Amino acid sequence: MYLLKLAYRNFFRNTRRSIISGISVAIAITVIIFAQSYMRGVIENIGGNIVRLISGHIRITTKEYERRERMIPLSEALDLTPELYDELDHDEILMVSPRIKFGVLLGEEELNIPALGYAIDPDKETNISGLDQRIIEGSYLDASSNGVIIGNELARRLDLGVGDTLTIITRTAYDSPTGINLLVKGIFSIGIGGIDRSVFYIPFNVGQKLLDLEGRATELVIIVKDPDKAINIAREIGLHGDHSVVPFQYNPILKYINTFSFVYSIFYAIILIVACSTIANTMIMVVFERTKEIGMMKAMGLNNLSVVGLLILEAGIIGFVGSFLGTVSGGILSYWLKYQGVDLSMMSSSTSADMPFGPIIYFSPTPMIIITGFLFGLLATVIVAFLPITRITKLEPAKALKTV
Amino acid sequence: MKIFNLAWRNVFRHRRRTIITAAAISVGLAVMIYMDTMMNGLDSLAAGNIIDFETSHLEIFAKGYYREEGLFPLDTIIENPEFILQRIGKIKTIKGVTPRIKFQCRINNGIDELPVLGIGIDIEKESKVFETANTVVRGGYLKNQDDILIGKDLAKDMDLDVGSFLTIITRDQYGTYEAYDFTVSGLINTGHPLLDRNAALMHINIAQRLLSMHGITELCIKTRDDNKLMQLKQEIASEIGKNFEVYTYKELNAGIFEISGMKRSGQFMLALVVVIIAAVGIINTMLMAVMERIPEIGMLKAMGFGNYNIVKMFIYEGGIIGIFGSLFGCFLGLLASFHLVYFGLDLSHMLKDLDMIYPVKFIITGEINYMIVLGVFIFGVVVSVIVTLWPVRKATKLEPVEALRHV
Repeated sequence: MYLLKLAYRNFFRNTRRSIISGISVAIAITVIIFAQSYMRGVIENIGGNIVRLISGHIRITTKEYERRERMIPLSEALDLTPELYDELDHDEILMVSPRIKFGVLLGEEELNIPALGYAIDPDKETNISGLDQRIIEGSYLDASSNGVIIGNELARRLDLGVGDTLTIITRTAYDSPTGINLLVKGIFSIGIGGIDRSVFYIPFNVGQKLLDLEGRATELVIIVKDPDKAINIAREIGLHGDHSVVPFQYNPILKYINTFSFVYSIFYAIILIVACSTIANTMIMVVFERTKEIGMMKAMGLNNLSVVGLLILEAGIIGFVGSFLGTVSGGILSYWLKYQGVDLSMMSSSTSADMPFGPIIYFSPTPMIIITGFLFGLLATVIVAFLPITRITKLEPAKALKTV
Repeated sequence: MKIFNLAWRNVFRHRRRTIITAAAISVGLAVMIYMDTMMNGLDSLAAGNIIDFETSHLEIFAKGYYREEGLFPLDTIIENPEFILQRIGKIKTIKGVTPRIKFQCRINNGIDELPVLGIGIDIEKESKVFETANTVVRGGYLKNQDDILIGKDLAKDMDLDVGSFLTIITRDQYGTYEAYDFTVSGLINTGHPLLDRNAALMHINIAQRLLSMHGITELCIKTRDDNKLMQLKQEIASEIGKNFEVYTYKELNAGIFEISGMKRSGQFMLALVVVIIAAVGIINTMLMAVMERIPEIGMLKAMGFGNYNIVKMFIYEGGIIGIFGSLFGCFLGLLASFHLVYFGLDLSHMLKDLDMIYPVKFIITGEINYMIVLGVFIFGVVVSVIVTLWPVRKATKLEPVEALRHV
C-alpha cells in the first residue's frame, strides 16, 4: 500500500509531464472508442436496413432461387403450402410474411429503366419495413386495390406523381408476357439511393396474379423475438432439402463489413502504440533522473520486485488517468452522437440497392466498447513502461548512489 | 550556426528519448503517405477503367441527352455523327474518336433474364479509343453480325460460354419491344465491374436495327494529352455548336469521384490523429528538455544569451527531431507504398460477390504522389517546430540567477 502512496506522490513530482503523457493516451482512447462506436453504428444501420428491406431476420427461399438470385428466377419460387407454415410454428417467431421480388424495365417510349418490384402484404409489412412511415406523398398501399407505391427518385425519373398510372410489362413465372396498369398511390423515400431509385411495391395478391404465382412467393421473410437468436432459430426450423433458410447475420454485405472493421483494429493498434511512445519516454526519464534515489531505496533494503512495482504503479497511474479521461470523452462523444446522429446522406444517396446504407448514422457505443477501450489503454501503458523499468533491476545500489 | 551546433548536440544527449519521439512522428507520417498512395491507386484505377472501357476522356451527346448517371434516353440522339467528325477532325490533340450506342436491355439465356447495359460498338474505330479488344480472355472479338461479347463474370452468372446463344430484349426508340438472337463470340475480363458483370457489346449497326434508329447516342474521344482535357473540351464545344454537348469523364462520374474525396478526407482524419498524438509526444519531450536544463539555461542567459537565442536553440532541437522523424516517416511510408505499387493488395477474395459503387475490382495497387510525400514531410517538420513553442515559453521566463540555483 505504501508503494501505491509513493507512486501517487511520484506522479505529482512532475505534474505537467505526467499529464501530457496521460493526454496522449487519452486522445488515443477517445479516438478508439469513437471509431468503434461509429463502426458499430454503421453495421447496425446496414444490418437494420437489411432486416427491414431485404431479408427480415430470417429469409426462406428455395436453394435454386438462392443460387441464381441475381437473375431473380420466378420459376424457382416457393410453394406456400400449409406444411411449410406448420414448420414455421415456432415460439420465437413473431411474424412470417411472403414477398415476391421481380425485375422489370420501366419507362415510357424513349426510357428504359431497370427497376425492382416487390409484391408485399401491406399490413404485415408495416411491422417489418415500416414503409408506411416513409410515404412522403399520397398514401400507403392497401391490400384490396390495384395500387403501387414507388421510390421518389424512380418517380422523378419516370416523371410520375400520385394519381398517375404506372404500366408494368414483364413475364410470368411460366415465361409468358404479362402486364398491368397500376395507380400510383404513394411515393416513398427511404434515403438509400439504390432503393429510392429503383424499387416499387405492389400488393401481394396483385403480384401473384400478375406473375402467375398463385400459392407461391419468391421468399418468406421471418421476424423473430430476439434477433440475436436468429442463427439458432434458422437452424431449428430445419426445412427439407430444397429450402434455404438464412439468418440475416449471414448476409454477405454484413460479413464483408465485419471483416473490414477488423482491418480497422490495425489502425487502433498504431494509434495506441504512438500514444504509448510518450509514456515510454516519460518512464525512461523517470528511471534516468531517479537512478540515485532508486539506488538509495535498494540500499535501504527494497527488493527489485518492489522497485519495479513502484515504477509500474506510477506508469499505471498515468495510464489510468489517461485512459479514464479518454474513456469519458470518447464515451460522451459517442453517446451524444448516438442520439444526435451523423448525416451521411451524400454517401447513402449514391449507394446501390445491395448496400442499404441509410442516410443517418447513429453511433452505437456499448459498455463493452467503453470498458475494453479503458482496459486497453491501461494495459498498453503498463506493458510499454515495463521495458525501460526492467533496466533498474540491474542497478548496483552502490554505483547508483554515486551517479550524478 | 553555433546555436545549431548546440541544438544538434542537445538532441543526442538523450538518444533513446529522441529516437522514440521521432519514431512516433514517423509512424504518423508513414500512415498518411500509405493512405494517400492507396487512395491514389484506387482513384487512378477507377479513372483508368472508366477511360479505357466506359466513357473515354470526353463524350459528345446530343443536347439534352445527358441528364444524370444511369439514364439512357433514346429520344435525343446524334442523328448525324459525320457532321461532328468533320468539325472536330482538324483538332490535333484528339487521338481517336469512336461512336457508341448505349441502351438498357435484358439479356436472356433461355431460362433467366437479367438487365444489362447494351453497348453497340464500331469495331474498326473502337480500338483507337478503348482497350476492350485486348481484354478478350476466351473466344474472339466481334466478327459475325450476330456476335456478342460479354464479361466473364456475367457469363458465369448466366451459365454462358463462347458459342452459347442468347437473346437481347429491349424497347426501341418508339417504345416497341424488340428481341434479337446472338452468339457469344468471346468473354472479356476488363477489371471494370460494369463491363464484366453488367454489359453486352455488339456491332453498332445491330444495335441500331434493334432500336430502330439511325443515329448514335455518343461519340467517345480519346486525347493525346489528358492534362489539357478542359482546353480540348472547350475547343470541341466551340466547333460542334449548340446542338451538342461535350462532357469529361470526371463530369460523367461525379458521384464516384465525390465519394472518393469523402473517403480520402475520412482516412486523412485518422492519420491526422496519429500525428496529433505524436505531436503531444514532442511537447512532452521538449518540456522535459526545458525542465532538466533549467540551470543550464540560466547559465546561458547569465553569459549573455538572449531569449531570442534560447528559443532559437529549442526550435532547432524540435526541428531536428521533426526532420529525423519526418525523413524516416517518409522512408517508411514510401517503403510500404512501393510494396503496394509493385505487389498490390488483393482484396478480391473478400469482396467478390458484391456490387461495389467504385468501378474497380479489389486488387488495389498504389500510386505514389511525390508532391504529397513532400507536403507530408514539410507538415511533419512544421508541426514539430510549432508544438515546441509552448514548452519553450517557460524557458524564456526564467530569471538567470534563480535558474542557476535550481536543482
